[in-house]
Amino acid sequence: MQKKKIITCITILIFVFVVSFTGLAKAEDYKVGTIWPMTGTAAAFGEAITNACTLVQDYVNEAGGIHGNELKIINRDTGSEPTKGVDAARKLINVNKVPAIVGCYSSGVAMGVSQGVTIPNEAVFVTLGTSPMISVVKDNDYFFRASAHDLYNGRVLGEAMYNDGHKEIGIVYVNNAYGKGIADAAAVTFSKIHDGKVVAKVPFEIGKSSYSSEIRRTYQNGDIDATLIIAYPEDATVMHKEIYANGWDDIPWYGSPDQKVPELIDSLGAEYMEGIVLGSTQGRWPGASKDSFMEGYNKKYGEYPPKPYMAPGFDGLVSVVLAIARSGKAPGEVTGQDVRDNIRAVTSEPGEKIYATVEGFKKAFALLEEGKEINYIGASGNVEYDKYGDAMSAIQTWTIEDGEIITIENIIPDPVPRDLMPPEYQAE
Amino acid sequence: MIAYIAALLCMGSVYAIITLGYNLQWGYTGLFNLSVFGLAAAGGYTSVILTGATAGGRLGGYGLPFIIGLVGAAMVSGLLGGLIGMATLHLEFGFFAISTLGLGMTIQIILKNEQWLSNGVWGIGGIHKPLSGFVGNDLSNWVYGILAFLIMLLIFYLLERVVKSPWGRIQMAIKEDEKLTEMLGKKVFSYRFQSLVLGSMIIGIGGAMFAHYQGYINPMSYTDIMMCFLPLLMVVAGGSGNNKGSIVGAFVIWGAWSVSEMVAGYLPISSAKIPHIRTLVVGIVIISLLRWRPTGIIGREQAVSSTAKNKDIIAS
Repeated sequence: MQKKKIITCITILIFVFVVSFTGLAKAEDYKVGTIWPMTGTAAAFGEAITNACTLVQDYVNEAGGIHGNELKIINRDTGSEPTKGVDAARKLINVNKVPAIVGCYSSGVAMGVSQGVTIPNEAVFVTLGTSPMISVVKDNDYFFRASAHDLYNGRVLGEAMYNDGHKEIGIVYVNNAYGKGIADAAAVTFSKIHDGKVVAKVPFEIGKSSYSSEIRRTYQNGDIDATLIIAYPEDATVMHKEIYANGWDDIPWYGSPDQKVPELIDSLGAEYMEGIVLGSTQGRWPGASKDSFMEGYNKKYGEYPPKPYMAPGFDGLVSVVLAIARSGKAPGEVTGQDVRDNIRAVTSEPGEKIYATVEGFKKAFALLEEGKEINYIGASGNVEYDKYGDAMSAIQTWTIEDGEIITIENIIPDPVPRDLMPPEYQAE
Repeated sequence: MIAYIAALLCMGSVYAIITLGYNLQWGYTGLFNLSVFGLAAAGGYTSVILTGATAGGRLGGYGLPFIIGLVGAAMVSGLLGGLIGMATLHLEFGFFAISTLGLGMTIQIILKNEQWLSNGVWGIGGIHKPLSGFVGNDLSNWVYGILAFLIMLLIFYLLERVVKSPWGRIQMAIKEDEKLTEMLGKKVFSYRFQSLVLGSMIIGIGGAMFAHYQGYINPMSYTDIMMCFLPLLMVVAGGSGNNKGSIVGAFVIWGAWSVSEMVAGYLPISSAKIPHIRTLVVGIVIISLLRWRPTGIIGREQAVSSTAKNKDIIAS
């Protein structure tokens, strides 16, 4: 009796297993995979970026599809976690047979997916992870990044702090690939490119209920000119309570990308938040692509894109779509190699400038069918993949006035030169 | 698709190894050890440090064979398990659980901050699967999956021998009634210690197998959810105190989790909602399983000496 039940259970499982392979997309669809953190710590971001990718799919299909075939985006969940992320990417490559994957918010997951799945399987992977290490992975040129990485972000923050006349600063950073990357880059900018002094560089672990020892070490008894706080909003809230309690809230502070959220203003109060001098975040590049991204998103979802790093995700997907179109191959025949060999051509000079609108896609597909070149100008920047596979993407600086987040400017800075960074940053 | 089945075989076998180790600790001896993720991470990093070809400023780059990596992983994890045991085994159930959880996190934080040892938050990449150079990428997952499965079967066979011996029956007796076992003249602390160390060694091997499958690890590859509570769930779902149950539990839970994402693609709901619904459904399935089959899918086997004659009479 028991055995029978077990056998029934296993039969059902096998049935489900077989059924799930028959695939949703029609054979004549062009398939592109996306993997975003839909659950887990970065889940709030995942939903917004999935919507942005659906917007690309809508635009392309409204424009008549790639050479008359529809674009089908298959989304999988990374769970904000390398194990699940690798499994998600494996399903896309092995079962859905996508030539390219766009995705991953977190560098740790992106490193796992690229080295575990996409590079050995010769599929293109365009990520948003900002760790400088992504550039130096041995990738046979299959690993791209659409966002500006930490060497850009850190440069902007370090320059700003030095230009404001500070001489001695403290840095407190979240102890992961993202936080350490920005902290190292800002410190090198401040103390090696310029002659400032970083008196303290203190890592912290996320999710603690008190950061008093970290804050005390960073502020050195209040004996510093400014601080750089690289922290997620929840942890930044805890830190600021301790900074205030110690009476150091008159020391100017600078913030990292993820603090540009209204929730932080709500929890700290607008008056307090005005103490921030400047923060950096992923930029948006003025142009038709940006307008189409912002307005299209607002029209479809009833709000303007709410999270940072959505624009580069949008651009990464568009560049993959255009690369598939340029390869001229039929759906199901496009390989990762085709995408890799075409992705630079469609995003850089020479060629007619293309923007991510319905008309833009129509025009791009028509030009590519005629064998002409195109150059995609994105919502986050010019989108030019360099030799490391990193796109030139803008950095935005922001501050807070009267309780509102104010954008100061969008710039494409020079990154911190790698040879000034510690040895682990060097390309082999 | 065939390649995906190989991937399922790899992950299922890796989890089965970890689950077998955990089952020895929890299923047989009743040690609610929550440092499994730390032990698995120690095993994974040890193997990667021993077998990696280049180090680049951190410890490692010895380029030793895969099998040495596994042996090293078992030894380091067993040693750590022993240290954890010395510090915590005299504690009562709940205190033991909490302090082992803390020590597991300590291992993780050490790996995160000691750049010379583990490359810190950057993690270690370029980890090769054994034989992948000879068979190429397409076959390497199959080779690795079959290898992992065979290693898992070997561990299973050895564990079956161990738990069916008098040693194993004492472990079960400790789980059922510690005081009684002590009154029978058995050194309970020593037996629990042995179970913890042996289980930790197997968990270390599992962690190493995981690292070679993933190709890149950082301290967050071994989170408490994926490498401690998920194996615990596999032990319980398969039937704690049953090695076959651990294997079935590992394959069923991992397979259900992985495959359900593709099944969910058929539902007429927006792609932004599917992951949440999937998590919910998997949770409901697990709770129902525990509600209607509290002993797990297979359940516990009767412990009868392998040398006993007329086993049916004794069992009844």
